[in-house]
Amino acid sequence: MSTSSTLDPITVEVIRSYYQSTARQMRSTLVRASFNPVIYEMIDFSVGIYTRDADLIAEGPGIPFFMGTLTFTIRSVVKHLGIDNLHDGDVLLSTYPYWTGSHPQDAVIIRPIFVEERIFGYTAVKAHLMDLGAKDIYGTDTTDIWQEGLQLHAVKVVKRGKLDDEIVGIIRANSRMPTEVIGDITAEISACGHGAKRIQELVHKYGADTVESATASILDHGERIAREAIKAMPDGQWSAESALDNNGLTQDQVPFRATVRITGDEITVDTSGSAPQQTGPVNCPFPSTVSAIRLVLKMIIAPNYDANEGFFRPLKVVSPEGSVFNPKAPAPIFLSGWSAQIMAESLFQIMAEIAPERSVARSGGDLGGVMFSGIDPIDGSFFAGGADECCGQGAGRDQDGENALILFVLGESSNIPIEISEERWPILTEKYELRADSGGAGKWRGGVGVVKQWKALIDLKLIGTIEQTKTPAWGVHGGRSGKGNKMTISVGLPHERPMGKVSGWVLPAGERLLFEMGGGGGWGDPLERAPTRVLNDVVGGYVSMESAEREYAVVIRQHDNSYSVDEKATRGLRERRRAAPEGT
Amino acid sequence: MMQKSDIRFAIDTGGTFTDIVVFDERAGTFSMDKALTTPHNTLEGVVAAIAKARIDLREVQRFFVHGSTTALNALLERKGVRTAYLGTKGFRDVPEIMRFNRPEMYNPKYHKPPQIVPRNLRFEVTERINSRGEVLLPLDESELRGIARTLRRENVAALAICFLHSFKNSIHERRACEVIREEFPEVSIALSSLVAGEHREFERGMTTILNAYLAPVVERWIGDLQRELKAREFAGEIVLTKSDGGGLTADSAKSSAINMLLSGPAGGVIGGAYMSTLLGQPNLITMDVGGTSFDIALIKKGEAAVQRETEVSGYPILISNLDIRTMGAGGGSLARIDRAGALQVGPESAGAVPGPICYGRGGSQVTVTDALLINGFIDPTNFLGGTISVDLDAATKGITEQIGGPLGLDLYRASSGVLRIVMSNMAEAIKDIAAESGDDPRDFAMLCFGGGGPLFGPYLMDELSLPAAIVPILPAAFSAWGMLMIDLRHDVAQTIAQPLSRVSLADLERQFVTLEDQGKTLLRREGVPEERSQLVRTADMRYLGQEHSVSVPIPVQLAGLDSVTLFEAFENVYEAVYGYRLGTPADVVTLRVKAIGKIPAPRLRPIASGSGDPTKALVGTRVVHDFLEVEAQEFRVFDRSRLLGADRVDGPALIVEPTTTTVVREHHTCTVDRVGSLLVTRR
Repeated sequence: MSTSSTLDPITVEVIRSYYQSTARQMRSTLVRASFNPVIYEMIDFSVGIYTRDADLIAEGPGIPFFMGTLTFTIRSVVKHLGIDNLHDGDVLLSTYPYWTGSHPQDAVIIRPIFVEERIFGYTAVKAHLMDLGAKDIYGTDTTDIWQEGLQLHAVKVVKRGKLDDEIVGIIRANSRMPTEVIGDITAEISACGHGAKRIQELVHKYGADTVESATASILDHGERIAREAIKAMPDGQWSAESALDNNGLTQDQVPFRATVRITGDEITVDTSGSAPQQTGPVNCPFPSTVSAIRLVLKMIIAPNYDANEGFFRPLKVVSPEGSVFNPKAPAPIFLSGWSAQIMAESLFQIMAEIAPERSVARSGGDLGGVMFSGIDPIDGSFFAGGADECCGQGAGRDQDGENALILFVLGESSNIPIEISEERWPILTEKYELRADSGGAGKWRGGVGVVKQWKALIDLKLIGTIEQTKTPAWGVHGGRSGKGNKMTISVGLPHERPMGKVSGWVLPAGERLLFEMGGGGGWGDPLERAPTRVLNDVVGGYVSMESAEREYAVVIRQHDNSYSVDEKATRGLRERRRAAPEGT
Repeated sequence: MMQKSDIRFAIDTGGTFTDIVVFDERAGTFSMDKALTTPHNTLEGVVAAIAKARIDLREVQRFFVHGSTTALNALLERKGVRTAYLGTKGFRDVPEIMRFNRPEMYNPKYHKPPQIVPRNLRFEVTERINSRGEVLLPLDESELRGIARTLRRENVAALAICFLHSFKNSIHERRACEVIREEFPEVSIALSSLVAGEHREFERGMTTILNAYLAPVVERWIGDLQRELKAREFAGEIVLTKSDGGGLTADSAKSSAINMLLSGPAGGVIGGAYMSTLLGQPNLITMDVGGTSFDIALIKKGEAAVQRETEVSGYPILISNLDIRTMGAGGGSLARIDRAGALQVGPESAGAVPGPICYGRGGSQVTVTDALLINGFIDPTNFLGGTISVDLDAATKGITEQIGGPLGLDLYRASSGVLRIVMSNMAEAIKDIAAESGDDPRDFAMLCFGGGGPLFGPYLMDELSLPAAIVPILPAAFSAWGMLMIDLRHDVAQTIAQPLSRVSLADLERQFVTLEDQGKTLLRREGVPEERSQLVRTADMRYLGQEHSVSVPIPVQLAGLDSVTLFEAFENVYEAVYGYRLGTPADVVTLRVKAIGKIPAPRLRPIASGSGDPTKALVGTRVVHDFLEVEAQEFRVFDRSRLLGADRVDGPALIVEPTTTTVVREHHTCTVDRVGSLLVTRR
């Protein structure tokens, strides 16, 4: 097969380590130089090194959801500009959702790496910029891509090493926060430049042939790992269904379907049967559909290996054109991440069948996103803030689901501490605690979500992206569902009401917003859960005494402040339940 | 009164060995010994090391030691005391929610580190203070008394209290402490406003929990240490190392467990900073290759970088600590072929038990030490001065079967491959740390220590194009040696988190004076005379709305200055760190005062000067496979103890001492400086 077999394996490892470290350094360069907390706190970016054919060689840790999307972007951008029109020192920019996979704010910078007047490969960065026009800083009700931000298909923002003032001028003129946005684009350019320079040094040291055959070998290694893992799974076809609460404009659910087909060491994921493309912004451009599916595959087959294109060679993704997972421009896509996340998470349900030791039940399924803005009462300036929340995680075959964790697609993204949010913004948090009884019952219990309530201290304008309020987390192998998500507005007042996705809602000073975030699904029959585990859950307050009896058929007695299992009553109750399951 | 001014010594409890370095002031000499570390009770190893060094404790003025191993083991083995948590009503779950991120991004079954305080021991009380430090809801004392009674009934030994915004106004935490003490005087209490008076409720609360959990363990250990020493008529001062490179006297250290948690590798970096001045090398990378880990730190302009936060076993810790990066690469690192045929070295380690194959203590997997032996870097007849006998045949068999066979490589290529990979992992780690601070490694010389440092240092020098690799005296016990250079130090801080435009400098001055008074009190309590006291002011500042702040030096007197001066000082520092300035408004986040009690450092005495010709130190030759070269070469072998100042050794050569070997590659030259350090450079 490839020439890689002739190269000594030690050099391959040394070059692999060099690539990985280069990708990490690109990440450090970006984080150090960036101006906006979405990059340096929420890690909403992706950096990678690609071959001449735009195959992923190495990636720095960023937002998992962006993993591998840049392959599509590089191919489309290079094709559009024409490879012969690229020169050493050029840096390319694209904000076009149908090539980058996500909203225009996720701007992609690409740097061709030239070695002796020939393109050796590319370094690329995608990072969320604070504002690129659009009708608002975030959107739940857009109807085409032009409402979502500045569209740049493929431009050279740097030409032969010189920043193009005209392009910069266009970007400046199309942003509410031009200084920060240009600063962040510069940070992306520096990160790509750093990576390109390091790769040039690598090629200089070892020679292009050696580096290329080592690279081929690194990708082949990834492929072998993936094929071996897929081969260990049974052949067959499985489907899983999921749904969005609504498309942001209408109130109807948007149904998704994902089918997995395995033959030998190859896997196909087919989203046929999912809804057609939508009028609201939940459409997911094909690059992001592929990226989300790749992420789940990696989490299942190789969580401990650094990703490269080789891992994904055995994977084929099919999404019919004109459907929600392969929409046609100019359909709006602002919330594409939500669709991708929810469909991708449904794949864990299939994996729970075919690779149970590696999979988990569904999580609470949302991040309870809210953004708010207002006028600072002290100096009259405009401010905007926001927060994401966590949910309970699904149980596994041999463990309870984790409590209060961010969605798997968001990785290292962290919450904003209460104290910092109160220093920054006129809000007062009154409650931030675990949500008892929200985890799905099972032999292994789903993790619990959180409850968070805060009060507006001045009038605020809200954008909310709440999802999965209608479809709670499913359990596996007899495990029960967790509780769904809920956002309630004007809590405790006569006009209190639950709220779905919303843009531009006014929360008057003194009124409250309550998030009840969902729990994860359970795994296995709750009647098989060890009574001592149920007791511990009751002692800790993760499960109430009533739920212990109702869901697990474990009878707990309380004497003063101590709890114990009534073993005899529990045995009897469990026997009766087994003989006559509820609902039969 | 007894004469006790001539001896000081330091002990470093490592994973495998407990090292002792003794400085005799009169003779100007250092000496070292090693005892085995006794993990079940590290005190035994400490006592054994003192016995081995034959020190008359009556002669000793100061003894430097770190409690890191004890504190760390108690945390890792969950042997702290039964601890409860008390938070603001509505927020008792903050320690469990954490920051809700996933450090293992691709692991669908990721779990947070286990809770130190189980949920049924997490309590909450009605009270609330806002972000300006104003009381919104008073503390409900009758509720609190009820909680105190529950704590007693639950047999809790320690309590961590963390209320929202307590770093701005600690009145409720202090009052809660009094009320609980009235009801339950035996419980040990840690207040978040005192342990880590900075914003971010989870990190502050977790730091407080860990301090509460570990303090009784550390206190007991220090008490035992004091008793052991007293029984041997020691009447000097015990100085404990803190994670930030400062020191604490034994009595003040007792309640400060959290500050000692990561002090283990600090000695090497403090020694590095000292050597940086001595060598005239303001920029140094310190690297310590031990049995299981590779520790690196950057020293810039003679000072080691300090970070204000770190993480242990997944728990954040909001304390100042030296920025030391550790990766799993050392003599015990395991080499293996993965299921898809790639050779990997580390991060897993064979540790001391079962150890490398060549130790013959049951180790069956190839380690870096086995490869060093095969390549000829280790003398099989005189390993660790002959204290350990090594089995060359077993190592040969292991490498051939486990590495060479599967990869189709002969013995030496396989063995060299293991060393090349571990060395390139080390090189990449150094590039990473430099990239994070925006530095170019080529601007740094490297100080190499630990048992493996002098072996790998010269290779890293080539790989990273560094100007020099320097091996100090006593490299294998350098961490203990560095501890002799420690000063007493206390850090006090006050978070204010306000825009610069809204603070008055007169008010800042008042707050700094308050902090300085606290610092002075702490130094006085440790018996530091005025002339050895030093106070240093800094402020953490950032651009409005940013999370990351930088540390800005603040003049000793703010009165008479205006905020423009302060803003300029901030932007100068910011630009130095990040490479640009924004010109937008700034926040003042935290005010800090460092109170230093200087301890005069030992002086290094010059060694005798030689002619430059090292022949008198030549003890033989050995065939060595330099792992970046194809052919084996004959290396001359020199005895370090016989080399004199200004001697010059051209490669290929090995410079041996009982506990380590310095490699001088074919194109390298090694010169001996006036205090005995080895300077390896390219010819």
